[in-house]
Amino acid sequence: MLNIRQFFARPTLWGALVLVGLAVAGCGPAPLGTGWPSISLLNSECGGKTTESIVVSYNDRIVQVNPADGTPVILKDAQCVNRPPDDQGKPRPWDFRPTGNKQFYTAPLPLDNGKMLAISYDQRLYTIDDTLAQATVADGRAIDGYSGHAVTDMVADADFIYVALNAKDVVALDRNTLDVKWKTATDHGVWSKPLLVDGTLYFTSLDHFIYAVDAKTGNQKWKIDLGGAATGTPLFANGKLYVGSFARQVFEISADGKILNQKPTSDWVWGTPAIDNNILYVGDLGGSLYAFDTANNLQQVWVQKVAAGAIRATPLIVDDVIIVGARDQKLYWLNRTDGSPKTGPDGKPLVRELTAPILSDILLIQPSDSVAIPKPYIVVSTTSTTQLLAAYTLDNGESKWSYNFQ
Amino acid sequence: MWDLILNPFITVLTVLYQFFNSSVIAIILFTILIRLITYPLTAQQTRASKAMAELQPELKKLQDKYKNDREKLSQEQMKLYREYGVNPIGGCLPLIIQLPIWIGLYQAISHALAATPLQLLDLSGRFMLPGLDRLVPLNNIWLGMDLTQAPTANPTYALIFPVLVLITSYLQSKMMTPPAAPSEDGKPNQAAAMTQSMTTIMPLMMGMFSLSFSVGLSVYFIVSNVMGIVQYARSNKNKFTWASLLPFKLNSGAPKPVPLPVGPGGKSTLKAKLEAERAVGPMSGTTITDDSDNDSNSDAKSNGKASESRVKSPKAKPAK
Repeated sequence: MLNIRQFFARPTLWGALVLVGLAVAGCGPAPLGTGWPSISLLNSECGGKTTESIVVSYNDRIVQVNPADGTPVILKDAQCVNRPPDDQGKPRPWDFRPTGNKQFYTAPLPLDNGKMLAISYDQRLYTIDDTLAQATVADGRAIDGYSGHAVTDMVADADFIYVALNAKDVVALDRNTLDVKWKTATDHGVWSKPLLVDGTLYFTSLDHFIYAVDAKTGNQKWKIDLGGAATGTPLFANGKLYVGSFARQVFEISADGKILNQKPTSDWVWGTPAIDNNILYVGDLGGSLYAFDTANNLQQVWVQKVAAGAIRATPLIVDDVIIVGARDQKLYWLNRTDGSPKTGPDGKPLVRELTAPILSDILLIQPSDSVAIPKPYIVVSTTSTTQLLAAYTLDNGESKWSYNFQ
Repeated sequence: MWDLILNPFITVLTVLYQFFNSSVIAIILFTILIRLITYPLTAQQTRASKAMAELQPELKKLQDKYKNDREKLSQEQMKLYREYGVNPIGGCLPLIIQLPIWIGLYQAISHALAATPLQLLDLSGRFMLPGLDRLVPLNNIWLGMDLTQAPTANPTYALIFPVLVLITSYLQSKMMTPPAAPSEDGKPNQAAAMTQSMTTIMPLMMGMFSLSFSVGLSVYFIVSNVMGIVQYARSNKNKFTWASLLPFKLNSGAPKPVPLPVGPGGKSTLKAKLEAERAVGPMSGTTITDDSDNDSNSDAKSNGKASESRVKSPKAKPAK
């Protein structure tokens, strides 16, 4: 047993303990890799020319990547000329990384005048210059009256920016001042990006309900119990809403808030469905993909067990092909008619394996004046920073480039 | 493979939540349940560790005697183990079995509270009973605190949790660590002193870690520590004193070693004591030395009496 003098006479020990404690309790980096990247396409004007870039939000950074070749977008000056390399001769990439170990789960929202608005996991709002990659206010600003987390993308109209919060509320911010104009409460966190249709905001909540609120006032129009938590943004098509929930159900809901049809799935439905030609496609976290006929009371057309891991993201539908990414790190090309695997150039099922789970939505990059590619690419992201993005040709899955956090 | 542990744990935890409609009560009951289930392993581990600790003087003698003959040393050590019925790795096996259970318990609580998107995603498909899906996500607000967040991200009063983690961790590690005794040559026992330091360092680190852990996990740590303390105190109720848990002695000086009970001819009856422990459960962490001349310590007398009354051993004999 130590005596009292021995106990307190160990400066080295105490010093080490304090350092460890500080490192662990707050001065160290925030835990990363607790979500998945959010990727989006951004059209920006620079020097009278429109450029297209992929914006990636993940961990503590937001970066821009050239869709044609996967290289980092180089930072430009106010005259839209590439900035010279740094003192070590390295190019200066577009890389927004605020101080304070912030994390980003969501894609920035493009604003007017060459700005974008990003929200960090701890709900700090950053107005970022498209060209300079600098925030107007370096450490951002809080949402008045709120603390907590933001895990989903924002949406905007001419007046407001709508932000769903894990603190149970959806708030409308003034587009110019970012002041809270109205708020509407649910009973649990809101992890779905709100959907804005004709002045009505639709969103799901972890409290099991889907809500419709007036976008101008925040007044609730209706809400419906989905039987389980819901995280997906509703899909609006043909005057109806389509959404899944953790109750292992897919719902067809009328615009005035009535459940018209619901069909079972074998596991939780997280992501937003996709629709084309009246057929609704949705994946579940058990790795199955479903096709439902929306013109026929949501009758199931087919179901395929596609992946060994969860299908979280929205399926990408292009012509006669459906492409889905899964948590089993694989990217699948499927025939739209029956969900069977599409055959690749080698006669085998067209599947590409990446280095980490694919949980983000897939981007389709079309050839254009601003994107010099010979044919359409798809861009997928993984949860690994060493293969954050990967591009494949749409038709045969040929690998074109990959991008990693440098 | 890991799912074999995690999925039942998450299922039980969620069933408890369904029954009591409280994440905190579910965590508390679940932790108590697991501690009770694993108690035989914990007790066995404690007994084995203590037996090894008590054999150390004998082993030291052998090491000195055969320091130039490793093969002979090994043979004599094994003979000693056989003679006293001690398995040198007897403390490891229960620990190895318990480790995945503890990790599973920790993981189950983290998953069930589902603070981040990946954790919630990972919760799918883990329920082994139908109907539990509708409980997700568990209500993680308790007394105004978000159980998924660290105390620093909660109201100020949530900082009581790291303090409680620190205190209970300290008490538990203090109980389970035998006091350091000086070596036979009178010099400080470095290994024992290091162990003593760990009883101070580890709780401090746990307290600091819990500043960044979620409050829900702090609840788990506190309950687990309290259960460990209660289990240990109950199994050592004859000899356990709360004063022994103080971080320092009120009177400075080296601890008084407690002599072993002696058998016929003044020989140590360590074997009888170990047999007695196996029969009745682990005894206290009092340091035992082979000091047959010291008959003034009342603990020694009680030790001897315990040995005599509980073990039908021809060598067992009360201390004078």
